[in-house]
Amino acid sequence: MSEMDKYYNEMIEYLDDGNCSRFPFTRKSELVRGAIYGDDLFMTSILANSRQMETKRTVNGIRGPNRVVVSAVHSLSRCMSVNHLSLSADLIDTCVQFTLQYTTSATDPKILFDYTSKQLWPEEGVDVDMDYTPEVQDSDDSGNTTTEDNHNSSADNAVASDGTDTSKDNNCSLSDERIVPSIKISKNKRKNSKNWSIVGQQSATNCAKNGLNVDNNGNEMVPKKRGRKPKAATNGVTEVVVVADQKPPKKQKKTALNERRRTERDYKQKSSVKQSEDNERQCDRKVNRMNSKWEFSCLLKTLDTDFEQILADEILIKIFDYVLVDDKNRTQSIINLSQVCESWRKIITTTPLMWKSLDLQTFSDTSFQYQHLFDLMDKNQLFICMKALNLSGWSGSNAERVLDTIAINCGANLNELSLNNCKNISSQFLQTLSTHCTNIVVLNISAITVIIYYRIYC
Amino acid sequence: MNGEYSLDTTEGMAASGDPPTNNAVDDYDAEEALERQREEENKIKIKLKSFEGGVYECGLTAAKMSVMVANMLDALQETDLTKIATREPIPLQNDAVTNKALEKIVEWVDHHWDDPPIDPDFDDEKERRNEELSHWDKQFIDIADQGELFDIIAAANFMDIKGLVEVGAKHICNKIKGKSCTEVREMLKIHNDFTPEEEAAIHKENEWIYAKD
Repeated sequence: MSEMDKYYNEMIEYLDDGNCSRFPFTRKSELVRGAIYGDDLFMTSILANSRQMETKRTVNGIRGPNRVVVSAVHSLSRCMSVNHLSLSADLIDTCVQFTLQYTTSATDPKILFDYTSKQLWPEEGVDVDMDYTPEVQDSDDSGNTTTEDNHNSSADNAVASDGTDTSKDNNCSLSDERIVPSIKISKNKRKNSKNWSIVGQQSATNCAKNGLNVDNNGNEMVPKKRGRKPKAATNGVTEVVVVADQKPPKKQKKTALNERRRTERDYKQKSSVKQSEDNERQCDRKVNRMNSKWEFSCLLKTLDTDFEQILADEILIKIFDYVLVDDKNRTQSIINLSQVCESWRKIITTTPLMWKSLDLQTFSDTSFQYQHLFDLMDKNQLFICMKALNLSGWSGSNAERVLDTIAINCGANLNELSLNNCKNISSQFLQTLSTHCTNIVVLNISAITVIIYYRIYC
Repeated sequence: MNGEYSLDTTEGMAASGDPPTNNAVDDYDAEEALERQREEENKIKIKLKSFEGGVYECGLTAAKMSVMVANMLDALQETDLTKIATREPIPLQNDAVTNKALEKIVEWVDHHWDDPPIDPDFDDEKERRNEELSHWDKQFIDIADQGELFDIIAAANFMDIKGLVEVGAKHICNKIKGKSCTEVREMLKIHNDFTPEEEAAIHKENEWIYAKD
């Protein structure tokens, strides 16, 4: 058993043993939004979160190395509270198959699968995606092996799945016959969805170049796709596929292509609205960034302008509070107010109640003056009442730096955190979050990427 | 609070078709009696004296909208309310309580005397924040003179009239919302009136900040 297989099995065991509960999310959450693009620890925290939170019903856009995705789906399928899972169009089949393979009881919850907009996700090609496709059998109950070439569904740079498997004959240098559960497909019914059922177990071999695909029973999972030409593996070995009881390939191919086109058309239609919304959002962000003329250092510099204050501090705080309520650009507005005069700056930099929410998405994380922020926090305990923190668009290490300090000082109050589009987040980050920020209610992790993925798989 | 509770109870009973109980009827009567009493009390005029010496009259219930005045009246322990009217004017010793400010405050409390009291224990802060000002309040608080406006708000704060402070705060908020700091400065006519000595003192006070820069 390769190291990767061992790791994968451990991961599944870890999830199954209910170790998720060690992540102390205690409050109920309404929704985890967006794409979970991550490693096991991240997944585990999210799953733990969803297990414990009764009101959470939806997880959108799980994405990642397919092994991680399927393990997440596997665990989600056992989580009664999750009944709607949105996935990418190219991952959904894989996950449905995998989930049903491990759905052994009729009492297990049924999950509604859905597509999500890819616009939310990291660009294709940035990641090293490992596609993981268990063997699929067409809807004849013969139990005979019906294997075709496996595929690399979307990522051109896939690592593990560019092998081809056959039941009897294969040209692979690495072959290892194992028992693999297979799946019956009922083609019918709804577009983009199929009924799946487990029909038994059959032998299969794997000739993947990089590592073996193994399910949680230790069975090798044989990647396969219907209606596609055999494809050369990345190791340069041309795979020859021998298929028992094979249907005329042209017809099958045509059907598959039609189905694929329909799927793509549906997907495009569905995502066109989302796409325009996303574009608007991107424009908004650009505008916000253009308007972000204030930096945190402004808060620390004494102003020459001042005047005799007629209004008491508590009235001014009340006025500021009214100004900032429902302000989308709250942090910039606070700094703007602080630049009116010295007295106002003093009030703002000494009143933690003004800083219930900190939105740093309009600030550039590369040029951000962290020390100023930490000074404000240390000297005046400014962020002690913070309830919401937005680090959207920041790089993982920089976001970590801010959250580490804030979480340790005032993490218990934090109940809303947005990490939308944060790149290269580490597992440590999540650990910090789960250790110090135990009252998170709303967690936005759409389109994040994690760094540990590379450490594990490369 | 009791009155409100009894009203709710009565409505609930009526909706379910059950006749109201004697207790509910009693509570309802008590509520009405209290309102009548407040109305009667408001007919009694008391005098308030500004910091500048101007004396202004307003109804007793209206005056009690100021928590400070209400406490002062309670401290008198006067059982015969009519005697309060004949007493010396209540002095308001704060320089913000100018003649103009007190005149406007009296106008506001006389208009709002029958408002339901703000319950400090009830967490409706957010709801109140989002409430728009009434037309009357908008006209009332739309004062051209910045100093006068600030005096009214400061005086209302001194007298602890929560409703009026909120009206003032919302008005200023509407004025400064979405404006740049320069525009806010110009609007509030803020200018630098520090002497060089004062500036040096401020600089010294904030030395740790400069050290970081």
